[in-house]
Amino acid sequence: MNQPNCFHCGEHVPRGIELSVTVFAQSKDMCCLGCQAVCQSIVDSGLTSYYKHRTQDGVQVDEIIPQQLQQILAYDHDEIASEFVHCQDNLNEVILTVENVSCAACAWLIEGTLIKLNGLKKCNVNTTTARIALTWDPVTLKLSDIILAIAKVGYKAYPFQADTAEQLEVDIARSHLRRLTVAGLCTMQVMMFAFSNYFDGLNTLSDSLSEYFRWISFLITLPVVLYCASPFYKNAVSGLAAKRLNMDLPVTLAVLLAFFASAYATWLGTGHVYFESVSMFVFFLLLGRFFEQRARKKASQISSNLLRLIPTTANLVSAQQSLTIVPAKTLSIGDIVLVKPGETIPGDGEVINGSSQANESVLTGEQAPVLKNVNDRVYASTINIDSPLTINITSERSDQLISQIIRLQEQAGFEKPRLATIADSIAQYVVVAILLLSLCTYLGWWLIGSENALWYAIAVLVATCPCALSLATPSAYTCARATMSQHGLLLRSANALDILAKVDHVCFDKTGTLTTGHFSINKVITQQSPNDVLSIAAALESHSLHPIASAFRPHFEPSLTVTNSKSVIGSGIEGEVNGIYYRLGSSDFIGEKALDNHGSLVIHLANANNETLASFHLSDQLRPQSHALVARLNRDSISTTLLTGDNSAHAEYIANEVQVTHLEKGQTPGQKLNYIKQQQRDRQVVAMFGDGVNDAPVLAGAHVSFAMGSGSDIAKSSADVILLHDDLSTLTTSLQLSYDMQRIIKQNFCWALGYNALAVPFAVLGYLPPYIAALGMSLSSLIVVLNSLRLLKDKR
Amino acid sequence: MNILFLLIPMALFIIVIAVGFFFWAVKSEQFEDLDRQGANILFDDEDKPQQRQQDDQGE
Repeated sequence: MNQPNCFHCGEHVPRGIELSVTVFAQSKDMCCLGCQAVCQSIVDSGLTSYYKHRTQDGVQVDEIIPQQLQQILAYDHDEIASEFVHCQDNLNEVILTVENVSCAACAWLIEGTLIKLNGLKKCNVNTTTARIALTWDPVTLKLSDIILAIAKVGYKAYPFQADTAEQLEVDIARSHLRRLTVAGLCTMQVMMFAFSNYFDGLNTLSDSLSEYFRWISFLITLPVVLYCASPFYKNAVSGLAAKRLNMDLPVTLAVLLAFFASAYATWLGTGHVYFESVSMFVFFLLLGRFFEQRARKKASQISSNLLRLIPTTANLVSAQQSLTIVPAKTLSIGDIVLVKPGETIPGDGEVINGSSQANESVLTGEQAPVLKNVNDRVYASTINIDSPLTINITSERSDQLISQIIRLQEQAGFEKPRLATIADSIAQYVVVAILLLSLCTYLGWWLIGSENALWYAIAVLVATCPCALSLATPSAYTCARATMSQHGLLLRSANALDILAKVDHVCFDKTGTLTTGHFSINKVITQQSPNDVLSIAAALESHSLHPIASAFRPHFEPSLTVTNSKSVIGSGIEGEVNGIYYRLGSSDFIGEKALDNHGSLVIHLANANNETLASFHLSDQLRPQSHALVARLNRDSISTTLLTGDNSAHAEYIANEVQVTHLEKGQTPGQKLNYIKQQQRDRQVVAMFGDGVNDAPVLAGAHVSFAMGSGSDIAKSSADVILLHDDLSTLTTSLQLSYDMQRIIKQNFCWALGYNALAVPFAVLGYLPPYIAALGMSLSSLIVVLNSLRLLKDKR
Repeated sequence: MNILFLLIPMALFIIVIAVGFFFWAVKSEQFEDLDRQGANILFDDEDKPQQRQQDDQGE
């Protein structure tokens, strides 16, 4: 038994941990208390079949910390619940998103657990969307109980902010599915009758039967033309209203003209009917759009799931000095609240008691804490680090700094410049060409004096507007999107890839985007063994919530004991490690001379005699992929800008390090937005990378924007693409992919048009029997789809 | 061949019914989670958790 794996999550069991649970009458190793508790509760409730049928290991489970518990309990507050819970017939309904639901076994496990709760009326786990729909009786059951029950079997459930686009996408997806099915069924029927005409070599069909078939075909094609194809008419009309020719215009013309001409022929009883072409045409068009739409729906559902609603609560201090927990949104001017260390500050206000440091990275992007004393202003959504603060709320919710940034973001989103996609621009030419060609055909035959001129013109329209052409872009889009999601890129807007290929200016936020956003130790200067001083520093920092403390955490030695530790706000920490007194902190605190050091933060360790034992250089490290990414962009002569709120030397250091072409530092969210607007006025296509709340307006305003998956919700909801794994190198991938996609779309159009150009003369002259034309059409579509499938090949 | 004049409308009528069923299925969200339902049959036997637990203990 060398290094066993955890039975629940599959991780290695760390040495020295001996936990187990009896499953299937065998003792199974567990890696941590969290996994053990979850596994035990699964066994206790008799749901062990989960382990038999699961297709993936569970996820390592952390125990719920008190703060999370408080957040979960806050969901029971009426004011908070009203945002996402719907009440109907005295029953509450909610849809939650669940992390890591990957297979049917997970869904069964959750349903099996919840069904036992008293008061739960209905629950349904959807593994495709990773969501649970719940209906329960609020009298006997609370939402927090349900969420805790789900947590007990190892899953985290959250209410979420449904993307506004999402409900629309779901409705469109359903109507697409209905239209597609009707078109498919009707096409099959019409084909049956058409083929009896095509292959009637012996002329066995009587005239009456032949006419009967035509009328039946007319009847079956009617729903296809009136119902299934209606979205194309709408698009064509709205395109015309915007004075643009799109692909839907020739589609509409072809469908309507071919249908009415065939109907006319049916009425007269002479001439060719195109009912089967019309139906098949509509069916293939819908099929292409259906796949494209389904990918889009999935993306908007995933991005909604990322926007979790986690309520902020506040400890309201009453006149009698007693504390009550209330939702932050109910606070008003003049309320006094107590913010404990580690808690989120619930509103903009002034410190009236206490002194601490706040992490304002949410607003500024900078991790370095800001000192807060009495009379200093604090801002909603920032985090209190060191010690309790009593705050007097001075702003209404809508006047808070964070609300102002959100308004700026919404404004920027409305004003976002739209660029025409490649499909649109090609379509312009194609549409003009098709319309001219059919017009020429009509005029040509009319001048010759043929009475069939209209028929020939329609033949041209139908033949030039086939499936291959209509599949050219949706198939490429769908494949490119699939490849992107394999690389951990979530495409929220369909045009992002199109625009990416045209980008000539990329702006980056610094903290959290080009850098990791966390401090880490990059240099230790000491006369002693670095490991010793590091572990002493780690021991001193072990109880600190300061962002610096996390840099030392890997060096923590459990054997060292810390006593009498005390943090001196804004300066450092002092305390005894194994009985020996040490101080750890800034240059001022230790009495060292501060040195310029490329913007990295230096803290010192000193002993009781004020002798400096060691100096640690800490900095916000560059992400490993940042160099390669900027180098690649520079090689492609794309300008790069570091657009940061940081005003320190670190900004210059990073700018030099990664070799960006421009640096704009000390920028407020509004200035950042103005900067890219200026670039856009200079006819540059601007891409923006960011992660913080302060980046949200500029993300919303850029032509195409990328947000880090670990970034703030508002950044993610403003961006076109979300980097789920925070891997910057995926931009290189997506750039390559967008170039490839442009190329493939052009190839598809060339092929589809080339084939048509070849086939049209034969069709017009009557040398192409319809079934050969149909065969050629299918082959041509197949080639287009196969060509698009090349985008799935992972050569990047 | 005259029977076709009767059979084809009948076939069309059946298609209308099929389309009706399909619309109902879409409306009742049966196409929302296609990944999961296929595996549901595996859990059919396990509907009585209490009994299952006793079996485990008996082994």
